[in-house]
Formats: sequence, structure tokens, C-alpha cells
Amino acid sequence: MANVNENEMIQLEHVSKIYPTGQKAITQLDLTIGRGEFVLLEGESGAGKTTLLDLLLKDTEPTEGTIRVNGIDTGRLKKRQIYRYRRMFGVVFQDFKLFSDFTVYENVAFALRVSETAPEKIRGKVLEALREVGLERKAKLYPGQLSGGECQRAAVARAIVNQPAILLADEPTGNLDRKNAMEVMWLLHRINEGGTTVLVVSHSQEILKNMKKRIITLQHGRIVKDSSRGGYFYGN
Amino acid sequence: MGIKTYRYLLLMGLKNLWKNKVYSMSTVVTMSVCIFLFSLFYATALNVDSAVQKTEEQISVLIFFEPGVTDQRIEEIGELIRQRPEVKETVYISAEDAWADFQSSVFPEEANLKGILNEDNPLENSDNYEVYLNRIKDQPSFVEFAEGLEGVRSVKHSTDAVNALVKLENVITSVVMGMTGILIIISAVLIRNTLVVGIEAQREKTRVMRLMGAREAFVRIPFILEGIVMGLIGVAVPLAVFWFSYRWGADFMSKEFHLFQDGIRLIPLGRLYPRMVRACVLLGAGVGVTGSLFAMHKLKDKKSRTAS
Repeated sequence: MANVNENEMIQLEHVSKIYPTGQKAITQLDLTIGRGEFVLLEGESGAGKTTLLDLLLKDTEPTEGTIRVNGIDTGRLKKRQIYRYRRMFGVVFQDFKLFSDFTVYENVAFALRVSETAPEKIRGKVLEALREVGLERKAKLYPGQLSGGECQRAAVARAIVNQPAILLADEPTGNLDRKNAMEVMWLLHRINEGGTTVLVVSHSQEILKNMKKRIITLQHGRIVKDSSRGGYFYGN
Repeated sequence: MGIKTYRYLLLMGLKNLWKNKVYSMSTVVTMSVCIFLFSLFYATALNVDSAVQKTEEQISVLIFFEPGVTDQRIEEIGELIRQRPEVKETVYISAEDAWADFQSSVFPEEANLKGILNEDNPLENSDNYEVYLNRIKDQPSFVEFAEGLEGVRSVKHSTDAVNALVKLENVITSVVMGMTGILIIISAVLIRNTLVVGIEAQREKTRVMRLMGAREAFVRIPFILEGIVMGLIGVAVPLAVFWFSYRWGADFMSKEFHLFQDGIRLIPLGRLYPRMVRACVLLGAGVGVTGSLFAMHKLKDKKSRTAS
């Protein structure tokens, strides 16, 4: 039986993922991310970055291996427990995935409605999240009326409004200019300082260099570099 | 989930309905036509059934006795008949009653026959039981039973009329059931298709909802409610149209066919409408739920992406 360390938020042991098409997305991956850590995940297209996020969200199942998140062995979760497990996460997407027919306020509130928060608490929490990302004055606008940077900040507000233990961001700066990208990364850094474990997929070398955080490099579904261990290493 | 969450989901369903309004509207219109047709078939069936029942009440089986059979045996036969479950009412008609009835109906002026037949009764040996049955279709088996009784000379019955009525009722019932089945299928497929269009358009939204930790019920309920609302609107419209059409039809029949008023009078709207509403609401909600459930498999999260 594997050790469960309270300081570890995410632990993957010998995890592989082979899609039905035969494509190997992740191969024998071992990875540990500590509670409250900020980790940047980089790699070329097809390296397995998004698959790794999907595995953590239990949006896809590993072909083999064990995934443990916040002490929960995801392989033992029953189907009817998955929705509750996912409430541990906040997710930010590259293309924001805001609902165009909802205002900024409604988009953020939606995350609370989904998680069945008491209606009387919704307003306060939404306004607090919007204040945190600097969008409290744009609450009544629709996503189509916002800039790209503002959309992504709204998406971050939606992801953090439930105060998740883990924030996953899949290329959150991919559609943004340099200034907006740095603002979003600064926002994620602040959220991390509040104690949230943050895992960000990024392609941007500038971000990777400037953030001064742990960087994990994936290639063909394997970790080929982990800055916390210093330098390159191959195999797991 | 609390009541406020359900209210929120209902609003989401209505919002989906509005966003998908062209498909929703065409579905509701087609469904309304289907349900209106159903209401016409059903009203016809109810009216035919009512007419058949009225006729059944008037058709009787006459049981005549062997000459010289004792009064005690006639009473025994009466008792045996009354014990039969299909028998609704039995009336004993003596030879004297039969003759008096004949005279009063054929020769209302009693004096005309006096002195011609003296006190003779041409209908001597015509004592009989007039038997009314609950359901006309039970007549053949009852006749067979009555013919087998000791002391019974003959059993008069109207086989042709019975057969014709039973056949008519069966045909109408089969047509209504068949048409109802077809209309249910058409309406359910329409609702399913409309919902599938909505589901496909919102696939990404439902995926995001799931990743946020939405229960399956939270994802599905708006679509199911959308289907039910379409079903209910699709029922309300034809029921309203039916109300006015039937009232007009009943007026028309009573004015234009007043000579046959008793024979072809329609069931009053006040008596027929509650049954019609029940049947149509059940049909509409059933079709809505069936269509929604057929569409639900489209809501399953499809993952065909490759690694990135």
C-alpha cells in the first residue's frame, strides 16, 4: 500500500494512459505535487499535458497506475461520487469557456449553483471573487463585451469562487497578449499565495522563465525535466 | 437539490427552449396537430361507445317457455338467469301483459278489437322473461346458456345487431389505439430531435458543468423540463381548439339533425372534456418525457480527443 503524505496534494504512481486509438498519451508517470505548490507544466503538442489534467479531473481513466488527490484514490471513486470529487477543483481553459448568454456575474454564480451553494450566499461570494480579479464593475456585462484578458479574469473568478483546493489552468494565457498574460499569471500567483495548489499548463517561455516556479516538462507522455529535482533526467 | 435549484433549472430549460425557438416552435405545432387529431379520434370513440351503450340498454333477450311449464319452474328459471353476472335486469311478462301491450301499441283504440277476439288471447303461451345484459358482447354466451335450460322453448335475440355494434366498437377502438400509437411515436421523435439539436449546441456547456462538479441531474433536468414544457404546450393548444370545435360541432348537430336528435346526440362537452383533458395531458407529458429520455443518451460525455 502506498504512503499517504499529508503534505502531498497530488500523487501519481506508474500512471499510463493509452487511448482506444492506440495513442500513448502518458507512459509510466510518477509525479508528486505538494499542498499549496505552484507548478508549471510544459511540453510540445501531444506531450500529454491536457491528458494529465483530464486524468486529475477524472474526465478520463488511466490505463494503469494510481492517482491520489488530496488523499483520495481516484480509482476507487464510484461514478456517483465523481461530481463531489470534482468540486475540489477550479478549472481555467485557454478559450475561457464562459457562457455567452450569461453576464459575468451569472457566469461566476453558475459555478456556485452547480455546486448547490445556498442561494443567499451566492451574491456575496460572487462579488468577492469578482473583486479579487478586478472585475466587480463589469459584473453586468456579457463576455462579448469584455476584452480577452477580462474574459480570462472572469473565468478565473468562476474557477476560484468555490474556493477550490486545486486550480487547474490549461494554457490560460494562450489567447492573450503579453500584458494580459502576465496579469493573469500574477492573479494565479496571488491565488496560490492564499493556499490553493495551482497547476498551470503553459507554452510561453517568457512565463516559464519569469514565474520562478517549479516547471515540469513532458515529452511523449513522460517527464523529461523537473526543475525541483534540478536538470534533466529520463525515465521514471 | 433544493426547491430554488429546481426553479433555477426550470428557468434554464425555458431559456434553452427560447434559444432553440425555431425547432421548439415547429415541434410544438406538429405535436399540437397530432394531439388534436388524437382528440378527434378519442371523441369519436367515446361517442360511439356511448351510442353503443345506449343501444345495449334497449336490446333485450326474450326467453319463452314450453307449454304447460309450471309457475314454480318459471320462477326457478328467473332465479337462474338473475344469478348470471352478465345479467343487468330481468322483467317477467305474462301472456296477458304481452297481449295488453300489443293491443295498446298496435290498436290504441281498444274498442276496435272488442267483439272480434272476445276474451281469447292470441298470445297465449307467450309468457317470457325480457333480459337486459350489462354488455352486449356477452349476448351469445348468455343465449347459449338460456337455450340449455329445462322448460325453455325458445330464445329470441338480435344476433345481427349485436354483431354489427360489437364490430363497430372494436374497429373504432382499434383505429383509435393505432392512431394514438402512431401519434405518440411521431411526437416523441420530434421532441427527441429538437432536444438533440439543443444538446449538441450545448455540448461544451454541459462538459464545463460536469467539470465544475455538477450532478448528472443538474445537467439533465433542464433538458427533461424542456421536453415536458414542449409536451404541455403541445397539449394545451389542441385542447383549447378542441373545446371550441366540439362545442360548435355539438350545436351544429343538434340544429341540423334535430329530427334524429335522440339518435345522434353527442356526449355533452362538460362530461367529455375532463376525460379528454386527462387523456391529452397524460399523452403530452408521456410524449415529452419519452422524447427527453430518448435524447438523454446524447448527453453522455463523449471523449474522442487525443493527447495534447
